[in-house]
Amino acid sequence: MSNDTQNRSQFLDIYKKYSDELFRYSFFKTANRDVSLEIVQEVFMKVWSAFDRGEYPDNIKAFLYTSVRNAITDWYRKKKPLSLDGLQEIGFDAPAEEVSYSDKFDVEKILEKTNDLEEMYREIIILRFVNDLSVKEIAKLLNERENNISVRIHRAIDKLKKQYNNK
Amino acid sequence: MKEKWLKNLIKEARQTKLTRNEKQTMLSAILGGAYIPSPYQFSFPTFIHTYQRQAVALVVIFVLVITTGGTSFAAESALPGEALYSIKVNVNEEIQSLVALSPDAKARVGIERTTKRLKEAEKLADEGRLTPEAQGIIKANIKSHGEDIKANLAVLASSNSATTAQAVVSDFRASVEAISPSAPIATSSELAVDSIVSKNTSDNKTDVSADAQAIGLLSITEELKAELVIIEETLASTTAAATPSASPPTDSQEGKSSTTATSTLPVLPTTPVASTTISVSTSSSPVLRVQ
Repeated sequence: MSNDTQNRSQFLDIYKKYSDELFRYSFFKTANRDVSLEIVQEVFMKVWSAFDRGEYPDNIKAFLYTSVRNAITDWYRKKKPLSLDGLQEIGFDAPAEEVSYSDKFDVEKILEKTNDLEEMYREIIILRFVNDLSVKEIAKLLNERENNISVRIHRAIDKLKKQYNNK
Repeated sequence: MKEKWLKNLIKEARQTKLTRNEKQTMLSAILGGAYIPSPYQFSFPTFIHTYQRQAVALVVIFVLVITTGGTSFAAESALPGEALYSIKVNVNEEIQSLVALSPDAKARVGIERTTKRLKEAEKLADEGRLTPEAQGIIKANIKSHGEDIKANLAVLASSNSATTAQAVVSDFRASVEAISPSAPIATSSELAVDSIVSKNTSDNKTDVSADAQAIGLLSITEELKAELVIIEETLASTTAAATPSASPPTDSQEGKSSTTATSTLPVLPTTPVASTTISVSTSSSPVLRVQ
């Protein structure tokens, strides 16, 4: 019983801390609010049932991000069964019919600014600056070396800056 | 590095989050998943403290008698899967059990309820309606009746009326053996052979479902017998703990009939209940009657 309440409070802490940023990450990658809600819910459900079995992931943040990222990949794979390479091109340009007006407004403003960025750089910007992940965490999530990530961050900022100055 | 334009961009991007409502809905969906209450569980006894249960039962009796006496009466013949069944098990019978005051009487009500479940299973099987759901309901009920019986027997055993407890249990055994279909024990292997034979001889479709019915009924009977054995064992261990001289543990290891016979035999002259016990147990070992 006490174990159960302990699980519960631990879970609630994690949920409070990470639900928004995971949702944001998913939203910027899928541009679909409903899908993002579903993905985030599924991932937290996974955590909760793991807790229920008495399993506690070592690094919960990494676990959450990786799970969300995999779920997003799955979603794209189901949606566009043909090419994963093509997906990276499409990325943000995926049609956002189901997004409500106010969502669309917000997202479009940001998309507009990052429009010409490749998906790779866009993801980095979101993870590093919007969601405040460390270089190390990003490297682990994307399965790349930290050096690569640092370089990518610099390039992403340079590109964004150029775009911003042009507009 | 973080210039103003970047800061603004970040600030805007961070506006994207879950609404309060979405967060709540999601959370209850996640946590709710692990705590789905059983649809067969009638909810009123669970959220009320135990000491209030009798009071609530009295109110329920009153309301039922005034308004829906007819419903409650009609519910008596309901079977699992029917709308009124829940009223029958959770209201009508619960009231019977609350009205019975002594632990002795309560245990007997529990036994009566258990045998009712078995009869229901038989009736459903006869009508070809013994679905897995119905089996589940019946088994769950048998389990909970078993818990009731055990609890009341424990009270009996601890209040120096172990002999009454013994009598109750052997009555239980007698009534189970009286109803249980196709003699004391039909093994599953026998049943399997039967089904193979009948499959070869007659129409496949109906026979398969008839097999399922028979197996379901058998599994319920086994469940009941298992419950009975558990009850007997718990009682034997509690009485042995309370009065070590009454029934030594070696006795309980032997056949069930000998256990009941040896422990109830000295009581014969004093309690009238015990006489029925003896007649039941002697039927399996007639030598005892001579003694």
